[in-house]
This record gives sequence, C-alpha cells and structure tokens, in this order.
Amino acid sequence: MPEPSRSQEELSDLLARAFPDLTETERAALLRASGHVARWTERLPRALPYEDEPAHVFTAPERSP
Amino acid sequence: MSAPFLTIAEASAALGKREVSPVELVETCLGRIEALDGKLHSYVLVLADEARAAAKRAETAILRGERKGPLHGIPIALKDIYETAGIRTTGHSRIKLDHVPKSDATVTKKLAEAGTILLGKLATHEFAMGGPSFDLPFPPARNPWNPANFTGGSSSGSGAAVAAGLAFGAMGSDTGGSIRGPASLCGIAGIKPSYGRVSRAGVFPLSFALDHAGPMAWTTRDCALLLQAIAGPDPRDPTAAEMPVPDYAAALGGDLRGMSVGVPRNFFANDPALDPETRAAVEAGIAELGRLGARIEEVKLSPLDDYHAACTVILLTEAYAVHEADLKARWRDYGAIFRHRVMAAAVISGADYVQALRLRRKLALEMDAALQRHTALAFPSTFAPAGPIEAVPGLAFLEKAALTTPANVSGHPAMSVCCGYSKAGMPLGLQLVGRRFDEATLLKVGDAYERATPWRGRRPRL
Repeated sequence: MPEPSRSQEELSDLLARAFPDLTETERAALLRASGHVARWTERLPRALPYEDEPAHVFTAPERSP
Repeated sequence: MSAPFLTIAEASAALGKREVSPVELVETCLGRIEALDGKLHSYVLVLADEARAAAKRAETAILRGERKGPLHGIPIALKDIYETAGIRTTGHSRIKLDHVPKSDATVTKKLAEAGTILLGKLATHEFAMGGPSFDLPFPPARNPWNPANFTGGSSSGSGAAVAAGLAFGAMGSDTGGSIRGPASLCGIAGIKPSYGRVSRAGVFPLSFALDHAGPMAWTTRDCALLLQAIAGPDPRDPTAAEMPVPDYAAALGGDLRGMSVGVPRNFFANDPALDPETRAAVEAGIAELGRLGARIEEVKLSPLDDYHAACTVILLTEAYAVHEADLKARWRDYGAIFRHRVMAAAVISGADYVQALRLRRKLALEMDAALQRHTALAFPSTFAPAGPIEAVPGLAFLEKAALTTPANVSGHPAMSVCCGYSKAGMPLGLQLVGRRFDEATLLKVGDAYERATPWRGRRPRL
C-alpha cells in the first residue's frame, strides 16, 4: 500500500474548514469515513500521460450518426 | 398465476383480451399494499384515490377501443426521487419533506403517456445514497423474502414492491448499482440502461456522470416493455442521446447461438467476500448461457478496485457538489449515513476528481474493447445474498468494492436477473453487461436465461 497522501491531522483540518460547527462525535465519525475515502483516492493513477484525457472525450458509437 | 403475480406482459395480454380490467389490477395492488406494506415499508406515499380514478379512465378508454399500447392500465410505482407534478417528492429525506414539484420528470411523463397507472412513491436510500437508515422520516424498506433482511439499495422500495406484488413494475435509479443491487437481493430483474439512453431530467441527481434511470420488474420481458416507454432523447437532458430506440420486445425470443459471453473472473473468483452459494449459482447461470448456445470465454479486466476507486471519487465529489449548500446549512437534517458518506468527500481534492475522470475513460475503453470481442459479460450482481438489515455497515460502499460499479464507470448497459436462491431462501443475482446502446441484445440474453431456468416460478410467501 502507498503511504497515505494526507495525515489524520490534515483530514481533520479539511473537515473543520468545510464544516466548522461539527460536534466532536460527528468529527470522529467523519474522520473514519474520510479514511475510507482516502483509501480510494490513493488508488488513483497520478502519472498518466498527457493524452489520457478525462471521460468527456469518448469516441463512443453513440456519437456516430 | 393470480392477479398480483401476473407479469406486466401477462397482465397486458389479459387487458387486451378484456379478461381483466385496470380497476381490478389496481385494486389487487392496493389490497396487497394495505395488507403487507406495514411490514415491508416499500411505499412512502400511496396514491390510492388517484390510482383508482386513473384506472377507471383507463378502463373506459380500453373498452372504447382506445388502448394506447401494452402498458395502458398497468399499475406501477416510482422511486421517490422521480419528480411528480403536484405530488410530494422527498428523496426519502427530511431535506425535501415538503417538496411538491411543479412538473413531472421526463420518465414520469412518458410512463403516464404510455397509460401506466401510478400507485405511489417508493422508499429509497436517502437521495439514492444513504441507507439503510433508521433516522429518516420514513423507515427503510424490507426484503419480502425475509422482512428481517436488507433489500439492497438504493432502489430499495422498488425492489421490495415488485417482488412482493405491490406493483407490476417500478422505476429505479443506478449510480453505483442501485437498480441491480436491489434487483439481485429481491429476486427480480432490473436494467441500468446505457448512459444517455434514458433521460434523467426531473430525477434528483446524485452524480451527473454516473446516474442512470431504469426499470425494475419481475421479468426481463417486463423490463423491455418499460424501457420501451422511457428510452430516447430529451431536450431537457443534454446527456440523453439522439439514438434510435429499437423494438425491445421484438428482440426477445430464441436462443443465444452465435453469441459470446465473457466472464471477468478476476472481479470475483478469488475474493473472500464471495458467498459459496452465490458462486455456485452464478457459475451454473454462466453454464446455462453456454447451453443456450453462447460461447463462454474468460476475459481479464482491470481490478474491480480500480473501477470502484473511479466510481467512489466521482460519485462522492459530485454528490457533495449537489448537496453542498444544504450540507453546510442543515447537515443535521440529513440521516447519519448520508452525511458521513457525502461530507467525507470534503477531503477529495480537485486533482483527485480529475484523475478519477481520466481513469474512468481508460476503464470505459477497456470495457468497450472487451465488448467488441464478446456480446455480453457475465458475473455476480452481488457478492452475497441479503443479510439482516440491522447488520448492514453504514459505510459499506466505502469499505468494499461493489460488483456493480464497473458499468456505471463505463456507461455500458447492465442488468441483474435472478439465478437461484440460497438455502435460506434468499434470491441470488447474475449480472449481465452489454454493448453500449445495445440493450436489445442484453435483454435477449436475460430473457433467454429466464425462460430456460425455473427461478421466475417462485414468489415470496408473505
């Protein structure tokens, strides 16, 4: 597994900035959820070649006449 | 079979021969809702008076020889994220508890134009995302095969109502598997059409890139009839593609000779979460596709976790954007499961989102390539049958990759058909993925499988 890209402290800061009025209980629950989210973001490729554009450039048959 | 357990196709044929009236069909459903929904909680709103009036109008029209088509007089229900003019649409959430739309969703309108009769609005996970939850204005739907068990989500009420005979068909929505999951766990058929096949206008969004609207019914044939009514372009939805809509029912019948079915076993075969009964039923289902004439071949795709990573990051980012204002102002009004899943997206960066979109394209092209070699792909809809509703982890979607997310990421049509039952009597689901905009062939595969197997002959005993 790669090293987590963000520490618990960073996650906590991000959540505090987005939701300043969270209770401690709620913050703890969100931190647990954020840990799971971080696991998926860490799986994303970070060094794709320039030509790997996002999904808005499908050459899918639905765009053919 | 008796009226509540007629399929849409059977009820339609009976209506055509005037052996049954829309009024009888509606009364049968309303009677079952009255008797059974107290323990299933599949409806959040029953429109008994409106349905009776619509049934009377349909009966009059049919007797006059003015039948609109095969769905005229068929009672259906909508997941409560489909807007209905003048009728409360809540998303199963306190946030929208008083929301009465001024206009219909395009699908709502098309189904009405086809002559269906709206019985009511169905339970969902909160905004098609958070559930099963016990802290919302309505209780979560329960599985008709065992009301102590989960229905799957998020089209939970749709799965439960159709399986229990409380509606002949229903609409669901599918962003990460929300049609196919409940279809699998409730033992019915459900199809997530191609991205762009069915308009989402007037359906509460969860993730613009991944949301799909689609039908759920007892059989694949019934799904074909419902899809026929709702497919096609829509000026209100820029993603609804200008593609011709074939005659889906006409495509059904026959066997699978000349077709090739790819099996991506790397998605599931070595996963410890795969339940042995599910494995056996799905492998038997794949073998049955072979007996029907399809060539069965192994296909290797990227790891399921890659698909799920792209899906999760895109879904949560877009869901956060949709709900940002309410989450900041009223986060306590959301159920705990919704807010824990979606507020956690605050930690996803803009770069993460873009990388997920770039990964999505690679995965979609990989799936396109696999489906150039194969007519369809087959694998389980879920790793296991439904278990106790109380035991479903609140963060389940974040903890473990789902077998349904690949087709949301890639946009290909995908469906779940019932492929047997566990020893405990819970349904098991076989997932089929087809070529982009070729729902007709996908439905043909599902229909051939259902006709060749005995699973459509069993209904929940309630």
